[in-house]
Amino acid sequence: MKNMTIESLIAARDASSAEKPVLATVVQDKGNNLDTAIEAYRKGWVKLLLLGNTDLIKQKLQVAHVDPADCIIEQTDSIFALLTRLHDWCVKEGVDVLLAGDLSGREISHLLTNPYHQVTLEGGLSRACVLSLPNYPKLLTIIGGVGSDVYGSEFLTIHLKNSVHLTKALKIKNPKIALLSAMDQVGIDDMHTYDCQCLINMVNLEQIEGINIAGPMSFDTAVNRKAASYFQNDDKVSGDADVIIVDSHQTRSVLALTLTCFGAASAARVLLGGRIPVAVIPGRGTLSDKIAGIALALEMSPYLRFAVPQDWLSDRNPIDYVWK
Amino acid sequence: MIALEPVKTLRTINDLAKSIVAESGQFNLGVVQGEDAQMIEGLELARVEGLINPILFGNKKKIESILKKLNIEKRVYTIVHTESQPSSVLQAAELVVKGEIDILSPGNIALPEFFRLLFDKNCTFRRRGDFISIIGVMEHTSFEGLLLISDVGLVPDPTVDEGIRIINNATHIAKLLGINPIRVGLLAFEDEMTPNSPTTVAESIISQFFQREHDPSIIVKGPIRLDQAMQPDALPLMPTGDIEPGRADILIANNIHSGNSMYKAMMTLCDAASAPIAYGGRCPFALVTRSESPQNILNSISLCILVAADETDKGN
Repeated sequence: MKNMTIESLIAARDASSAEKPVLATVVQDKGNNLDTAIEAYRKGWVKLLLLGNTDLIKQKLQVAHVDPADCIIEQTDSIFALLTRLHDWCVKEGVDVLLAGDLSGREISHLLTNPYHQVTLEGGLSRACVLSLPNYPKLLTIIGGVGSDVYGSEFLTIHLKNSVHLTKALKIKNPKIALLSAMDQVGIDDMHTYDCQCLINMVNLEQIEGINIAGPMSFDTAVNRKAASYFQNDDKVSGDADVIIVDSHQTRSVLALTLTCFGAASAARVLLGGRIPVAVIPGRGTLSDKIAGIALALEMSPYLRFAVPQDWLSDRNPIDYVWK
Repeated sequence: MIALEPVKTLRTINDLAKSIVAESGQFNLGVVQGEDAQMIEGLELARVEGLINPILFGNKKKIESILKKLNIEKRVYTIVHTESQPSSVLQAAELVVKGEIDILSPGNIALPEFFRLLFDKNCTFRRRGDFISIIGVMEHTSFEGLLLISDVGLVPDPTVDEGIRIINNATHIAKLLGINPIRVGLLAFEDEMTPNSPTTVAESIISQFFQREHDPSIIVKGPIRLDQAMQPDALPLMPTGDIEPGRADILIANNIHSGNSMYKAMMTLCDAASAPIAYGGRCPFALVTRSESPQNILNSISLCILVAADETDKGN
């Protein structure tokens, strides 16, 4: 089977004849991401649900030569009404993919992580950048935190759970997950390496089951077999990683941009943690760069709607540990 | 010796090193735990070009067997037999302090362990006020000239003070390479300071600090995203005096993980070439990661020769 790439994800969307999924976004004042949503609509990928300032929405659609009657448009005035309506859409009316549009990161985070909205999957958010590179034989995903400097094994666990969902949604068999660090060992003065080792210990104690994970490891050990062979590890991840979990959103951004700016990588970005994937649209780049996020989110959407939360390390009866 | 014109390629660094050696003679390069085939391959390139006189510290038998395997005559290398890693580090450091070694390099020893032993209280290597950071001088087809990135593997989570010293070390190398003005981008997730992100707050403070210094040859902007920093009009955004906007010459990572990952991503998946160097101590350090080619070791040694010659000029 030919390896999946970002280009093949887009081509699969172009060729799809199934019923059109629904893409929802919010247009309040700026119309962020609306051009990308319209492009997905033009390509015949999605039906559009647009919420917010109806006058602005209609004006933007007319400029783009899209008939407003072909889209579902609703007026809302307050942010509370907006989030409540989005909640109804996500839970009852079958929205498949969200675009943040004019919603802030905080509002999107609230929608996906507040249990009231019933779209929470793992109780925390991760941002994933899926890359296809000329120099790497398969998709490489970089996953890290969202929006502010948050660290620790608790967040690494969330990213790990979301990584498992991402690989399942993309049908990657036996995914290999690397915990990235600057060095390949626990550093005395580097707390992140302690957090990585903490997760590995949980795997060794079978508190986390059924995944191939290794770390802390540096980037070259994760993706380069020659560098990995230096340590003669018997783990399956070194040199062949599918997913790289990083310490912070700063590292994720720098690493993803390094590979797109200097490595000719194609990238698709998505926000994970809810049952509805949120396509992330880069501020810069061509329209095809921007639309890749929607293609990825559409690919993941059918899986996420019915995904079962990973039960390890959360809400577990203490008696389980006793019996183990 | 400062290059008069901006150095645009790693090859030019190698040529400059050759011209320095032609004037002042070969440089003594010590390798701690020299039983490392990859390092010896790189050393051999530099030795054949007449740049260095290599001194290998480590297990003599193992080193000789590697030399034999690589078809290198053992008599052209000075081998100092040592029984352990600490002993290798201490003996090499002692020769640096005496001025008998100009450049130091870690061979078959983990970098954190190498520097831990070097900065141990039993070792006289570290001087008061020394601050060492690693700088990668990168060459890549997607941009013209060289790009410096730092810190790529030594300072775990820099404070504001350490951030400033990392920039000072990197700008020193940039000056040696004839870059003027020097445009520095402090990398972050976003282009503006946000109060709930300590990284962007720290970078904003550092940026303000350099504005206050009023040194027209160093322009620091941060926080800035990597793609924005590489735009042709990134720094300064508005022309300052005679200074035309240009892309960043130096990228400073917010912590060791992002700097190290960026460097290794460029080396492993982006086909970049590099000359890594650890700078800020008693002597420059030639470095190499496991996935790099012998050519990069030669580049690193050439850059170290430029730095060592400059330090000698200053009488250090």
